[in-house]
Amino acid sequence: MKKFKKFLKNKTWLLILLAGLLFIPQSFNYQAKLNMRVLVSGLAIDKTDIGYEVTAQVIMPTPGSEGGGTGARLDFISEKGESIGEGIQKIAYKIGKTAGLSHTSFVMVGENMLEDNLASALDYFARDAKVNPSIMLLVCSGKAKDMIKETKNLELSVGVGLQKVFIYKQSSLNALVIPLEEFINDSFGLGKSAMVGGILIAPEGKEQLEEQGNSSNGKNIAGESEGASNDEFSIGAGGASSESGGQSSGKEKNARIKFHNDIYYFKGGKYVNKLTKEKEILGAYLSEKVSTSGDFKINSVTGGILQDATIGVTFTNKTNKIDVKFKNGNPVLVYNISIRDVQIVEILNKDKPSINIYNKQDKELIDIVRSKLEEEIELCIKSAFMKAKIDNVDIFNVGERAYQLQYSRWKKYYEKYGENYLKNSDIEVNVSIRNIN
Amino acid sequence: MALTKRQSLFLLLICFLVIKVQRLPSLIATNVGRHGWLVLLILGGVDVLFLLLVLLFNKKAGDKTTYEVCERVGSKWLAKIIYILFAIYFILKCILPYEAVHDIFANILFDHLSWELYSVILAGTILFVASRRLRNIGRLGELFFFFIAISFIVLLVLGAVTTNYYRTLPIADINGSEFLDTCIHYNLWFGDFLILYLFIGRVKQDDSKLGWPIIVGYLICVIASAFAYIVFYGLYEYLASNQNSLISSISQFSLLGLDIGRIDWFFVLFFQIGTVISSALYLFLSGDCFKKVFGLKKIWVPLIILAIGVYLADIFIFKSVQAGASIVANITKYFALFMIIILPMILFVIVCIYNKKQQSKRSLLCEDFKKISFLVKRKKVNSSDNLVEYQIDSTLIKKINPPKTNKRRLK
Repeated sequence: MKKFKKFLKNKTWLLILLAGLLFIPQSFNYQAKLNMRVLVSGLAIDKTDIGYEVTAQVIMPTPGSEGGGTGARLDFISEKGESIGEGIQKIAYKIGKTAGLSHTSFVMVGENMLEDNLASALDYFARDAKVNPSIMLLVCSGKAKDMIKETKNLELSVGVGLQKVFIYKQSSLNALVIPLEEFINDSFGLGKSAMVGGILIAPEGKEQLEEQGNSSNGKNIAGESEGASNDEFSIGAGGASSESGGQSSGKEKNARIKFHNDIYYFKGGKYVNKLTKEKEILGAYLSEKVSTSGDFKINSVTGGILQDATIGVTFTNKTNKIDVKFKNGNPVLVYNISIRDVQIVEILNKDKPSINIYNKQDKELIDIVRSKLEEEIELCIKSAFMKAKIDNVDIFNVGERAYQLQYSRWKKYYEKYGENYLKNSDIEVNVSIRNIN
Repeated sequence: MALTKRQSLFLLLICFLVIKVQRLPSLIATNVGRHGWLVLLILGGVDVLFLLLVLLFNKKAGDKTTYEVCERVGSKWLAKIIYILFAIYFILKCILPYEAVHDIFANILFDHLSWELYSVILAGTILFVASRRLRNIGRLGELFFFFIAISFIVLLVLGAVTTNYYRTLPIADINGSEFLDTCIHYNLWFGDFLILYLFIGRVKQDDSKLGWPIIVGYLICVIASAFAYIVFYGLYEYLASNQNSLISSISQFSLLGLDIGRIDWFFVLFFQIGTVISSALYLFLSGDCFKKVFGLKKIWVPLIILAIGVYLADIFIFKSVQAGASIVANITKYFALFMIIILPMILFVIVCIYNKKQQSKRSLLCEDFKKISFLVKRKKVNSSDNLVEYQIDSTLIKKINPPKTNKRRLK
């Protein structure tokens, strides 16, 4: 005890300094206080006549939250500005609180943003140190403002943590998460080609892009005439405007995120086209290294006991290895996809029911499934590549990889073809499946 | 003796790491992009080469400090000039970790931070730590070294699993002149081994070895910092120059799926302890040099003046961190190059001369000893008290060939 007292006496200096270091930044200005802060968890950006309309999905701590309550309020605040930065500043001013952008996890852009160069338009996010470049970029069909407001009809954890949901979806072959930095880097890289995943949130059963697009456009006109708006939606216990003890504020949370969203591809930051067919979309998902598991459906499998069967499989431990080779002087991107475990989860053997389909050891069945699955994966990736190739967009970065891995040969090739290098480039997909069932 | 060998090793490694993996990668990325890791590897390699010269200096200097060696070879003025150079160099180095903390706290961690005010506390902290002398700074380094090292390793691993290594390829398209220019431009961020010159003569001699652990440790840090750059550039590519701090941004992509937020910030903040320690060490070393040069009795006076200088430099020059670093690099590049390459060579020549002088002195003493021992022998014949004769003999031998014992104890 004496020693401790002596230590305290001798090290008072140090303790004061440490206390200062810990507490002063928190207490010197009032903006730092929790109830004076508002967290921007997501942003939606649309193009307007004067510039941009920014809509922020914000989580505001309610008065009860500082005293240990758990309530929070989800608001949507819109502002217009000549630039995105101006719009965000106006939002912070309008709230009258400090807007923290460091918690922003996604940015949605409306389809009208695709008229201009998207990479240039999003410059604000690449520069501002407060915004993480890891934020997810999404393209909405129709107006982004309407789409972000639809997140209120999702469960809170989904609405707020949209990025987390998409990361999970991506790892299980159901989404494409492109961080902002990847989009900008790809747009300015050698191939100048980038992909961005789409998003559609709609009431259950209405997840059709066209329908949403039309309805959004209708809302756009009305929304623009209103100018800046503030739509509030309350959730959580203890919140000032929330119902006591309930999650819901009375509205039914029936919104759903579309299963396979379209994938938009860009050249030099400018929108070119989108992948809409299921095979193309799956091809884009499969090309991603992070999609390590997922469910896959193979149609029209015939052979052995199978007759025009539909087979559902679940695969895990998928790994992608990329290589580049030159064939007749032309670059070929080689995807070596290895899947360790595949589990057959469903066989719909339409016209030929047989008890043998339950035999997990049936070599013939397994070989058919294996070859069909390998074929399907190859087809998906190639169909995505070919569609973008027609538009001269190198979505799988053949040029960039050839430049990185085969520099001297690429240099000669690029001198010959220049920007049109994709014309003679190709892709090769080698799939190997180790275990089935 | 102020430091143990272990403490001096830890302090050196802390200083090396905290300066290389915060602001520097972003600055290098602006100039040479994907080839930045080569800058770290080459300048780190140069450091290792000249570190060998410092170790040789240490071996030849015996138990003398660098100041004493310079004083004995040249004059007081030679020692003073060299120590003034060290003082300027170390105070410049003190600003680098200081402004890294500035960037983390004022620009990244907090939205609205009155840095002019907060900086007073930080300057006070490093002044306080520096005022506790080398022994306590060494103990602080020893205490926190593993926290700092583990934090760095965890952050590096988190980054390494999410980065895109392809982005650092190819190597072949390197722009030689720009690369060389970058190496010269940012050499102030290197040369941390120079702190060893001020440790010489202050390290407690024990059974542990200092030479190989320092070289191996330094090499590991050089490779780790180059790898950290690869991870960093792989994550941000063209946006790397916009990410001011490597250590706070390297793990950003790996924990996005966590509901509990970015727990990696704990490691970032643990790592900042190293930043404070290195800044305080450089402040102390600079103050110590000035104390020696001006023959001051107390180190407080130069330390306070230097801390105020660091505070003002940070407030005025580093108002914009990126521009401030560029200005400092531009002004100091030739001076730092001199300090890293030329000065160790000069000091090596000095220590060789010192060594030669010592050897000639030793041979003269040996001749004296022969004469004295002859006298003692004669005395021995005449005297019957053997014990007295033995004691005289033993003292003479010790003076000629001093054993490896604590200097103070000897006195």
